[in-house]
Amino acid sequence: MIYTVPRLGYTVLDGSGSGSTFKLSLSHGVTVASAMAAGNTLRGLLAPLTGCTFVRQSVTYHAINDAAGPADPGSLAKNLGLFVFETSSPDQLAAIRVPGIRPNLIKTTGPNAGLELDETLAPIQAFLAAMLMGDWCNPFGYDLVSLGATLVESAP
Amino acid sequence: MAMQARPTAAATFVLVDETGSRANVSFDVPYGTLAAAAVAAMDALTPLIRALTGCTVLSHSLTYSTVDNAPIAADAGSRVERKGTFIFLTAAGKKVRYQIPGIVPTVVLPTGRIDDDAAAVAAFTTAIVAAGAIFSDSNGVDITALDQAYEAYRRSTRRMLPAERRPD
Repeated sequence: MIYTVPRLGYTVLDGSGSGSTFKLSLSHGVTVASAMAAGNTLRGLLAPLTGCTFVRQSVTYHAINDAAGPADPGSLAKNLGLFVFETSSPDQLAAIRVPGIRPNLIKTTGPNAGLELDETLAPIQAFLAAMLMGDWCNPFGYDLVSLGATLVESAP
Repeated sequence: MAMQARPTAAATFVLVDETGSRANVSFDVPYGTLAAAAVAAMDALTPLIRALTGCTVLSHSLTYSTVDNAPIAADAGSRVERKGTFIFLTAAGKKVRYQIPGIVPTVVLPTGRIDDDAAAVAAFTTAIVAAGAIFSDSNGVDITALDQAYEAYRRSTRRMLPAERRPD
């Protein structure tokens, strides 16, 4: 992977309600805390220069795969694999859609053949193991704890 | 109101299939996760996504966001199309350009140049070029001096047009 410099972004709204985002580059290796602190300070200096109001501040870390290689024959992004996870909150689930799911990962036997993914297959087991390591959560911050269901979809 | 951190940081992978069609797959990590740890987890996930899909993983990005749910009102008459363009020199002798939307007219001279002696402008440019500042160009090279500063306008997109633009 090639890791580009982090980018500090501001989103502003003007008097007519139109929005705009502008970004500045940061030095390599800057932590989120340092970047946000610098961003807060700079926002205070930018405020007198613009009539717009600040609504969002972000720090983005971007990486480019320089060893990507070509996609496999037959891969189609519109084939979606939906993974529904249970989270650390009993009232919250997490849904992750993976585009381009391989057809050979779909169940071929049983009552849900053709509808669900086969969780016994190695690529899916490896993916699930990574998702349940504790690094990932749902959009509300609740950790993923177990797989609830899978489903095969097709994007329009 | 102050900026509030979102509960999670957004991790997004960009995929491309055999036909050249692109798609994204998104995950969330707790906001308190260090960027280095989250990026490492994303790097580890990349070959697993490849194994699931056959698609090429072109890139991934991780974004931490803070939002202001009750921002103060923007100045009447401010327009994002009116840009304050600042061009800085880097330690490598190259240039980097930043544009601030809605630049206030009070810092713009009659010639269109931004008054770099104005206190607010000087404070901003000093923060960018100061030794030890974390701002850089896209190659990570330090920014060293202000080269140009002027007012410029960009074309209004359809979404930027006033909502109330028909005669009453």
